[in-house]
Amino acid sequence: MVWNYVLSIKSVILSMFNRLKSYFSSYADITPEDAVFMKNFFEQKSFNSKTILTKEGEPEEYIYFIVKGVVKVYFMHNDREIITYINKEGEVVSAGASFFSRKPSRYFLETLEPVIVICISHANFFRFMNSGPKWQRMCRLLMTEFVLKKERWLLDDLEYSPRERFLRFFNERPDLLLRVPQKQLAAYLNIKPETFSRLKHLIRQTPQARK
Amino acid sequence: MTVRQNYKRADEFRKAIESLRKLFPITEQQLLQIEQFISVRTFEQGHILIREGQVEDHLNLVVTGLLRKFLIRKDREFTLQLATEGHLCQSEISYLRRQPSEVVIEALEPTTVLSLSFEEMQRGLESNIGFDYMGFHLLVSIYILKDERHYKQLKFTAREKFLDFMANHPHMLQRVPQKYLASYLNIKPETFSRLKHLIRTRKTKD
Repeated sequence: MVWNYVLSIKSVILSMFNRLKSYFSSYADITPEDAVFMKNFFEQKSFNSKTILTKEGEPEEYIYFIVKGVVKVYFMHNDREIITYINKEGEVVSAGASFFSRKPSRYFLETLEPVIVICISHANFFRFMNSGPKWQRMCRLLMTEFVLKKERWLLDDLEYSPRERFLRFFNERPDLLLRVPQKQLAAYLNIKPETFSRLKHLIRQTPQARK
Repeated sequence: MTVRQNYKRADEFRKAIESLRKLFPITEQQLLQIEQFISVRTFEQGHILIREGQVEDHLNLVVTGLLRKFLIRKDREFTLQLATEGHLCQSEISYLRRQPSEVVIEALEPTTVLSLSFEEMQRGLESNIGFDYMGFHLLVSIYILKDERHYKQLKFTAREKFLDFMANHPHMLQRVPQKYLASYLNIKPETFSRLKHLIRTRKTKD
Protein backbone atom coordinates (compact mmCIF):
# COMPACT_ATOMS: atom_id res chain seq x y z
CA MET A 1 0.00 0.00 0.00
CA VAL A 2 2.56 2.47 1.21
CA TRP A 3 4.88 1.41 -1.56
CA ASN A 4 2.18 2.02 -4.17
CA TYR A 5 1.52 5.42 -2.70
CA VAL A 6 5.19 6.32 -2.84
CA LEU A 7 5.33 5.10 -6.43
CA SER A 8 2.36 7.17 -7.50
CA ILE A 9 3.73 10.30 -5.80
CA LYS A 10 7.01 9.65 -7.52
CA SER A 11 5.35 9.35 -10.91
CA VAL A 12 3.42 12.58 -10.35
CA ILE A 13 6.62 14.41 -9.44
CA LEU A 14 8.39 12.85 -12.38
CA SER A 15 5.70 13.80 -14.84
CA MET A 16 5.53 17.33 -13.48
CA PHE A 17 9.31 17.53 -13.72
CA ASN A 18 9.22 16.36 -17.33
CA ARG A 19 6.51 18.84 -18.17
CA LEU A 20 8.29 21.76 -16.55
CA LYS A 21 11.46 20.70 -18.25
CA SER A 22 9.92 20.42 -21.69
CA TYR A 23 8.28 23.81 -21.28
CA PHE A 24 11.23 25.74 -20.05
CA SER A 25 14.19 23.95 -21.58
CA SER A 26 14.03 26.27 -24.59
CA TYR A 27 14.62 29.18 -22.21
CA ALA A 28 17.14 27.70 -19.79
CA ASP A 29 18.94 24.49 -18.93
CA ILE A 30 16.72 22.97 -16.25
CA THR A 31 18.41 20.51 -13.89
CA PRO A 32 16.41 18.07 -11.71
CA GLU A 33 17.27 20.36 -8.74
CA ASP A 34 15.84 23.33 -10.65
CA ALA A 35 12.63 21.44 -11.32
CA VAL A 36 12.27 20.64 -7.62
CA PHE A 37 12.84 24.31 -6.83
CA MET A 38 10.29 25.40 -9.46
CA LYS A 39 7.69 23.12 -7.94
CA ASN A 40 7.52 25.59 -5.05
CA PHE A 41 5.99 28.13 -7.41
CA PHE A 42 4.08 26.17 -10.03
CA GLU A 43 0.95 24.08 -9.51
CA GLN A 44 -0.77 21.51 -11.64
CA LYS A 45 -4.53 21.84 -12.17
CA SER A 46 -7.25 20.02 -14.09
CA PHE A 47 -10.48 21.45 -15.44
CA ASN A 48 -13.59 20.06 -17.10
CA SER A 49 -14.55 21.19 -20.56
CA LYS A 50 -16.33 24.58 -20.68
CA THR A 51 -14.79 25.83 -17.43
CA ILE A 52 -14.24 29.56 -17.24
CA LEU A 53 -10.72 30.13 -15.91
CA THR A 54 -10.76 33.93 -16.05
CA LYS A 55 -13.66 36.36 -16.23
CA GLU A 56 -13.81 39.66 -18.05
CA GLY A 57 -13.67 42.44 -15.46
CA GLU A 58 -11.67 40.46 -12.89
CA PRO A 59 -7.90 40.50 -12.57
CA GLU A 60 -6.06 37.57 -14.15
CA GLU A 61 -4.45 35.53 -11.38
CA TYR A 62 -2.50 32.97 -13.42
CA ILE A 63 -0.32 32.21 -16.38
CA TYR A 64 -1.24 28.77 -17.70
CA PHE A 65 1.05 26.37 -19.52
CA ILE A 66 -1.26 23.92 -21.25
CA VAL A 67 -0.30 20.29 -20.79
CA LYS A 68 -3.42 18.86 -22.41
CA GLY A 69 -6.53 20.30 -24.02
CA VAL A 70 -7.67 23.51 -25.66
CA VAL A 71 -8.36 26.94 -24.12
CA LYS A 72 -9.98 29.88 -25.90
CA VAL A 73 -9.56 33.55 -25.10
CA TYR A 74 -12.44 35.85 -26.02
CA PHE A 75 -14.54 38.84 -25.11
CA MET A 76 -18.23 39.55 -25.62
CA HIS A 77 -19.30 42.33 -27.93
CA ASN A 78 -22.91 42.97 -28.94
CA ASP A 79 -23.81 39.47 -27.71
CA ARG A 80 -21.17 37.97 -29.93
CA GLU A 81 -18.01 36.15 -28.90
CA ILE A 82 -14.88 37.73 -30.34
CA ILE A 83 -12.16 35.07 -30.03
CA THR A 84 -8.62 36.40 -29.79
CA TYR A 85 -6.69 33.16 -29.27
CA ILE A 86 -7.20 29.41 -29.37
CA ASN A 87 -4.38 27.66 -27.52
CA LYS A 88 -3.55 23.99 -27.09
CA GLU A 89 -1.03 21.78 -25.30
CA GLY A 90 2.51 23.10 -25.47
CA GLU A 91 1.26 26.69 -25.57
CA VAL A 92 0.98 29.42 -22.94
CA VAL A 93 -2.26 31.22 -22.19
CA SER A 94 -3.22 34.10 -19.88
CA ALA A 95 -4.97 37.45 -19.98
CA GLY A 96 -1.41 38.77 -19.84
CA ALA A 97 -2.08 42.52 -19.77
CA SER A 98 -4.29 42.03 -16.71
CA PHE A 99 -1.86 39.60 -15.09
CA PHE A 100 1.01 42.08 -15.29
CA SER A 101 -0.88 45.35 -14.75
CA ARG A 102 -3.35 44.00 -12.13
CA LYS A 103 -6.12 45.78 -14.00
CA PRO A 104 -9.39 43.95 -14.74
CA SER A 105 -9.14 41.44 -17.57
CA ARG A 106 -10.64 42.36 -20.93
CA TYR A 107 -10.99 38.70 -21.77
CA PHE A 108 -12.56 35.44 -20.73
CA LEU A 109 -10.46 32.28 -20.70
CA GLU A 110 -12.52 29.12 -21.19
CA THR A 111 -11.64 25.48 -21.72
CA LEU A 112 -12.97 23.81 -24.87
CA GLU A 113 -11.90 20.31 -23.77
CA PRO A 114 -10.93 18.73 -20.45
CA VAL A 115 -7.71 20.56 -19.69
CA ILE A 116 -4.57 19.93 -17.62
CA VAL A 117 -2.29 22.88 -16.96
CA ILE A 118 0.77 23.84 -15.02
CA CYS A 119 0.16 27.34 -13.76
CA ILE A 120 1.80 30.06 -11.71
CA SER A 121 -0.04 32.69 -9.68
CA HIS A 122 0.76 36.39 -9.80
CA ALA A 123 2.39 36.41 -6.36
CA ASN A 124 4.42 33.31 -7.12
CA PHE A 125 5.51 34.60 -10.50
CA PHE A 126 7.21 37.62 -8.97
CA ARG A 127 8.64 35.63 -6.08
CA PHE A 128 9.98 33.17 -8.60
CA MET A 129 11.45 35.86 -10.85
CA ASN A 130 13.19 37.54 -7.94
CA SER A 131 14.75 34.36 -6.64
CA GLY A 132 17.81 34.39 -8.89
CA PRO A 133 19.39 35.57 -12.14
CA LYS A 134 18.55 32.33 -13.93
CA TRP A 135 14.85 32.80 -13.23
CA GLN A 136 14.93 36.46 -14.14
CA ARG A 137 16.34 35.47 -17.48
CA MET A 138 13.68 32.83 -17.93
CA CYS A 139 10.89 35.30 -17.15
CA ARG A 140 12.34 37.84 -19.57
CA LEU A 141 12.46 35.19 -22.31
CA LEU A 142 8.90 34.16 -21.50
CA MET A 143 7.84 37.79 -21.79
CA THR A 144 9.62 37.96 -25.15
CA GLU A 145 7.32 35.19 -26.38
CA PHE A 146 4.26 37.12 -25.18
CA VAL A 147 5.37 40.19 -27.13
CA LEU A 148 6.27 38.26 -30.27
CA LYS A 149 2.93 36.47 -30.30
CA LYS A 150 1.03 39.74 -29.94
CA GLU A 151 3.07 41.47 -32.64
CA ARG A 152 2.53 38.48 -34.94
CA TRP A 153 -1.23 38.83 -34.50
CA LEU A 154 -1.13 42.55 -35.26
CA LEU A 155 0.89 41.99 -38.45
CA ASP A 156 -1.17 39.01 -39.61
CA ASP A 157 -4.41 40.86 -39.07
CA LEU A 158 -3.36 43.51 -41.58
CA GLU A 159 -1.59 41.16 -43.89
CA TYR A 160 -4.02 38.37 -44.69
CA SER A 161 -7.38 38.07 -46.38
CA PRO A 162 -9.99 35.70 -44.84
CA ARG A 163 -9.00 33.03 -47.37
CA GLU A 164 -5.31 33.42 -46.51
CA ARG A 165 -6.06 33.30 -42.79
CA PHE A 166 -7.99 30.09 -43.29
CA LEU A 167 -5.23 28.47 -45.35
CA ARG A 168 -2.52 29.44 -42.88
CA PHE A 169 -4.54 28.01 -40.04
CA PHE A 170 -5.29 24.86 -42.03
CA ASN A 171 -1.60 24.32 -42.78
CA GLU A 172 -0.18 25.27 -39.39
CA ARG A 173 -2.73 23.86 -36.94
CA PRO A 174 -4.74 21.20 -38.81
CA ASP A 175 -5.51 19.21 -35.65
CA LEU A 176 -7.59 22.07 -34.26
CA LEU A 177 -9.97 21.80 -37.23
CA LEU A 178 -11.17 18.53 -35.74
CA ARG A 179 -11.07 19.60 -32.11
CA VAL A 180 -12.71 23.01 -32.12
CA PRO A 181 -16.31 23.66 -33.25
CA GLN A 182 -16.36 25.22 -36.70
CA LYS A 183 -18.34 28.25 -35.51
CA GLN A 184 -15.63 29.05 -32.96
CA LEU A 185 -12.85 28.68 -35.50
CA ALA A 186 -14.66 31.01 -37.87
CA ALA A 187 -15.01 33.54 -35.03
CA TYR A 188 -11.30 33.20 -34.25
CA LEU A 189 -10.25 33.68 -37.87
CA ASN A 190 -12.76 36.51 -38.24
CA ILE A 191 -14.37 34.74 -41.20
CA LYS A 192 -18.10 34.34 -41.76
CA PRO A 193 -19.25 30.78 -40.92
CA GLU A 194 -20.50 30.35 -44.52
CA THR A 195 -17.13 31.39 -45.91
CA PHE A 196 -15.42 28.98 -43.53
CA SER A 197 -17.55 26.06 -44.76
CA ARG A 198 -16.97 27.02 -48.35
CA LEU A 199 -13.19 27.17 -47.90
CA LYS A 200 -13.11 23.88 -46.04
CA HIS A 201 -15.13 22.24 -48.80
CA LEU A 202 -12.87 23.75 -51.44
CA ILE A 203 -9.79 22.24 -49.81
CA ARG A 204 -11.39 18.81 -49.64
CA GLN A 205 -12.28 18.97 -53.31
CA THR A 206 -9.08 20.45 -54.63
CA PRO A 207 -6.02 19.72 -52.52
CA GLN A 208 -3.92 22.02 -54.73
CA ALA A 209 -5.93 24.95 -53.36
CA ARG A 210 -4.02 24.48 -50.11
CA LYS A 211 -1.17 26.61 -51.31
CA MET B 1 32.27 59.50 -22.03
CA THR B 2 28.73 58.82 -20.92
CA VAL B 3 25.69 59.61 -22.97
CA ARG B 4 24.65 62.24 -20.49
CA GLN B 5 27.90 64.25 -20.82
CA ASN B 6 27.89 63.78 -24.54
CA TYR B 7 24.37 64.87 -25.07
CA LYS B 8 23.81 68.61 -25.30
CA ARG B 9 20.07 68.69 -24.78
CA ALA B 10 20.32 67.29 -21.29
CA ASP B 11 16.77 68.24 -20.33
CA GLU B 12 15.34 66.17 -23.17
CA PHE B 13 17.51 63.26 -22.22
CA ARG B 14 16.27 63.62 -18.68
CA LYS B 15 12.70 63.58 -19.93
CA ALA B 16 13.32 60.40 -21.89
CA ILE B 17 14.87 58.74 -18.86
CA GLU B 18 11.89 59.79 -16.78
CA SER B 19 9.58 58.17 -19.29
CA LEU B 20 11.68 55.02 -18.95
CA ARG B 21 11.08 55.31 -15.23
CA LYS B 22 7.35 55.23 -15.83
CA LEU B 23 7.79 51.83 -17.42
CA PHE B 24 9.58 50.24 -14.47
CA PRO B 25 11.18 51.29 -11.18
CA ILE B 26 14.83 52.09 -11.70
CA THR B 27 17.34 53.60 -9.30
CA GLU B 28 19.75 56.47 -10.04
CA GLN B 29 22.56 53.95 -9.70
CA GLN B 30 21.01 51.65 -12.31
CA LEU B 31 20.44 54.59 -14.63
CA LEU B 32 24.12 55.49 -14.51
CA GLN B 33 24.96 51.86 -15.18
CA ILE B 34 22.74 51.45 -18.21
CA GLU B 35 23.83 54.72 -19.77
CA GLN B 36 27.02 53.09 -21.00
CA PHE B 37 24.96 50.76 -23.17
CA ILE B 38 22.67 53.40 -24.65
CA SER B 39 23.38 55.58 -27.68
CA VAL B 40 21.64 58.72 -28.87
CA ARG B 41 20.62 58.80 -32.52
CA THR B 42 19.19 61.73 -34.44
CA PHE B 43 17.33 61.53 -37.74
CA GLU B 44 16.08 64.04 -40.28
CA GLN B 45 12.45 64.09 -41.26
CA GLY B 46 11.81 61.39 -43.83
CA HIS B 47 14.73 59.22 -42.72
CA ILE B 48 14.06 55.49 -42.88
CA LEU B 49 15.36 53.82 -39.70
CA ILE B 50 14.73 50.32 -40.93
CA ARG B 51 13.61 48.91 -44.28
CA GLU B 52 11.79 45.72 -45.12
CA GLY B 53 14.31 42.88 -45.25
CA GLN B 54 16.93 44.47 -42.98
CA VAL B 55 17.57 43.03 -39.55
CA GLU B 56 16.55 45.43 -36.79
CA ASP B 57 19.50 46.37 -34.63
CA HIS B 58 17.99 48.83 -32.14
CA LEU B 59 15.38 49.23 -29.49
CA ASN B 60 14.36 52.90 -29.62
CA LEU B 61 12.85 55.24 -27.08
CA VAL B 62 11.64 58.48 -28.70
CA VAL B 63 13.11 61.56 -26.97
CA THR B 64 11.68 64.12 -29.40
CA GLY B 65 9.93 63.70 -32.71
CA LEU B 66 7.68 61.14 -34.27
CA LEU B 67 8.23 57.69 -35.78
CA ARG B 68 5.85 55.77 -37.98
CA LYS B 69 5.98 52.00 -38.18
CA PHE B 70 4.23 50.47 -41.17
CA LEU B 71 3.77 47.38 -43.29
CA ILE B 72 3.59 47.40 -47.09
CA ARG B 73 1.23 44.81 -48.55
CA LYS B 74 -0.30 44.65 -52.00
CA ASP B 75 1.00 48.17 -52.71
CA ARG B 76 -0.77 49.52 -49.66
CA GLU B 77 0.76 50.89 -46.49
CA PHE B 78 -0.70 49.82 -43.16
CA THR B 79 0.38 51.97 -40.22
CA LEU B 80 0.97 49.97 -37.05
CA GLN B 81 2.30 52.65 -34.75
CA LEU B 82 2.77 56.40 -34.44
CA ALA B 83 5.36 56.83 -31.71
CA THR B 84 5.90 60.18 -30.00
CA GLU B 85 7.97 61.29 -26.99
CA GLY B 86 8.34 58.56 -24.37
CA HIS B 87 7.25 55.70 -26.64
CA LEU B 88 9.23 52.67 -27.72
CA CYS B 89 9.35 51.92 -31.45
CA GLN B 90 11.24 49.14 -33.22
CA SER B 91 10.74 46.10 -35.42
CA GLU B 92 10.36 43.72 -32.47
CA ILE B 93 10.16 40.40 -34.26
CA SER B 94 13.25 41.21 -36.31
CA TYR B 95 15.21 42.50 -33.29
CA LEU B 96 14.37 39.60 -31.01
CA ARG B 97 14.48 36.80 -33.58
CA ARG B 98 17.32 38.21 -35.70
CA GLN B 99 15.30 37.80 -38.89
CA PRO B 100 14.57 40.24 -41.76
CA SER B 101 12.11 42.94 -40.79
CA GLU B 102 8.62 42.84 -42.26
CA VAL B 103 7.96 46.42 -41.24
CA VAL B 104 9.41 49.82 -42.14
CA ILE B 105 10.07 52.62 -39.64
CA GLU B 106 10.38 56.22 -40.81
CA ALA B 107 10.80 59.56 -39.07
CA LEU B 108 7.81 61.84 -39.76
CA GLU B 109 9.54 64.69 -37.94
CA PRO B 110 13.16 65.42 -37.07
CA THR B 111 13.60 62.77 -34.38
CA THR B 112 15.98 61.92 -31.57
CA VAL B 113 15.92 58.51 -29.94
CA LEU B 114 17.77 56.67 -27.21
CA SER B 115 18.78 53.30 -28.62
CA LEU B 116 19.95 49.99 -27.28
CA SER B 117 21.70 48.02 -30.02
CA PHE B 118 21.42 44.24 -30.07
CA GLU B 119 25.13 43.93 -29.37
CA GLU B 120 24.94 46.29 -26.41
CA MET B 121 21.95 44.37 -25.12
CA GLN B 122 24.01 41.18 -25.18
CA ARG B 123 26.81 42.98 -23.36
CA GLY B 124 24.28 44.30 -20.85
CA LEU B 125 22.83 40.86 -20.28
CA GLU B 126 26.29 39.53 -19.46
CA SER B 127 27.06 42.42 -17.13
CA ASN B 128 25.08 41.38 -14.10
CA ILE B 129 23.41 44.77 -13.47
CA GLY B 130 19.80 43.66 -13.77
CA PHE B 131 19.34 43.78 -17.54
CA ASP B 132 16.99 40.80 -17.44
CA TYR B 133 14.82 42.55 -14.90
CA MET B 134 14.72 45.79 -16.88
CA GLY B 135 14.17 43.93 -20.12
CA PHE B 136 11.29 42.06 -18.56
CA HIS B 137 9.56 45.29 -17.54
CA LEU B 138 10.23 46.91 -20.89
CA LEU B 139 8.62 43.92 -22.60
CA VAL B 140 5.63 44.04 -20.26
CA SER B 141 4.99 47.69 -21.16
CA ILE B 142 5.30 46.91 -24.88
CA TYR B 143 2.96 43.95 -24.45
CA ILE B 144 0.27 45.94 -22.64
CA LEU B 145 0.14 48.57 -25.41
CA LYS B 146 0.00 45.92 -28.12
CA ASP B 147 -2.79 44.12 -26.30
CA GLU B 148 -4.75 47.34 -26.17
CA ARG B 149 -4.40 47.72 -29.92
CA HIS B 150 -5.35 44.09 -30.50
CA TYR B 151 -8.49 44.54 -28.41
CA LYS B 152 -9.55 47.84 -29.97
CA GLN B 153 -8.91 46.54 -33.46
CA LEU B 154 -11.45 43.78 -32.90
CA LYS B 155 -13.95 45.67 -30.82
CA PHE B 156 -14.30 49.10 -32.37
CA THR B 157 -16.03 50.14 -35.56
CA ALA B 158 -14.29 52.73 -37.76
CA ARG B 159 -16.27 55.47 -36.08
CA GLU B 160 -15.48 54.24 -32.55
CA LYS B 161 -11.77 53.90 -33.38
CA PHE B 162 -11.77 57.46 -34.63
CA LEU B 163 -13.57 58.88 -31.58
CA ASP B 164 -11.40 56.90 -29.18
CA PHE B 165 -8.23 58.10 -30.86
CA MET B 166 -9.34 61.73 -30.91
CA ALA B 167 -10.32 61.59 -27.25
CA ASN B 168 -6.95 60.16 -26.21
CA HIS B 169 -4.58 61.83 -28.67
CA PRO B 170 -6.20 65.11 -29.82
CA HIS B 171 -2.82 66.77 -30.51
CA MET B 172 -1.92 64.12 -33.11
CA LEU B 173 -4.28 65.70 -35.62
CA GLN B 174 -1.91 68.66 -35.82
CA ARG B 175 1.24 66.59 -35.99
CA VAL B 176 0.42 63.73 -38.31
CA PRO B 177 -0.72 63.88 -41.95
CA GLN B 178 -4.30 62.77 -42.15
CA LYS B 179 -3.59 59.87 -44.51
CA TYR B 180 -1.32 58.29 -41.90
CA LEU B 181 -3.88 58.73 -39.14
CA ALA B 182 -6.50 57.08 -41.34
CA SER B 183 -4.06 54.27 -42.10
CA TYR B 184 -3.24 53.86 -38.39
CA LEU B 185 -6.94 53.53 -37.57
CA ASN B 186 -7.35 51.26 -40.60
CA ILE B 187 -10.15 53.39 -42.01
CA LYS B 188 -10.52 54.96 -45.47
CA PRO B 189 -9.18 58.54 -45.82
CA GLU B 190 -12.68 59.63 -46.94
CA THR B 191 -14.23 58.15 -43.81
CA PHE B 192 -11.60 59.91 -41.72
CA SER B 193 -12.43 63.31 -43.29
CA ARG B 194 -16.12 62.74 -42.85
CA LEU B 195 -15.72 61.83 -39.16
CA LYS B 196 -13.43 64.79 -38.55
CA HIS B 197 -15.97 67.09 -40.13
CA LEU B 198 -18.67 65.53 -37.98
CA ILE B 199 -16.89 66.33 -34.71
CA ARG B 200 -16.17 69.89 -35.87
CA THR B 201 -19.81 70.62 -36.62
CA ARG B 202 -20.92 68.94 -33.43
CA LYS B 203 -18.53 71.13 -31.42
CA THR B 204 -19.82 74.33 -33.04
CA LYS B 205 -23.37 73.33 -32.21
CA ASP B 206 -22.43 72.77 -28.55
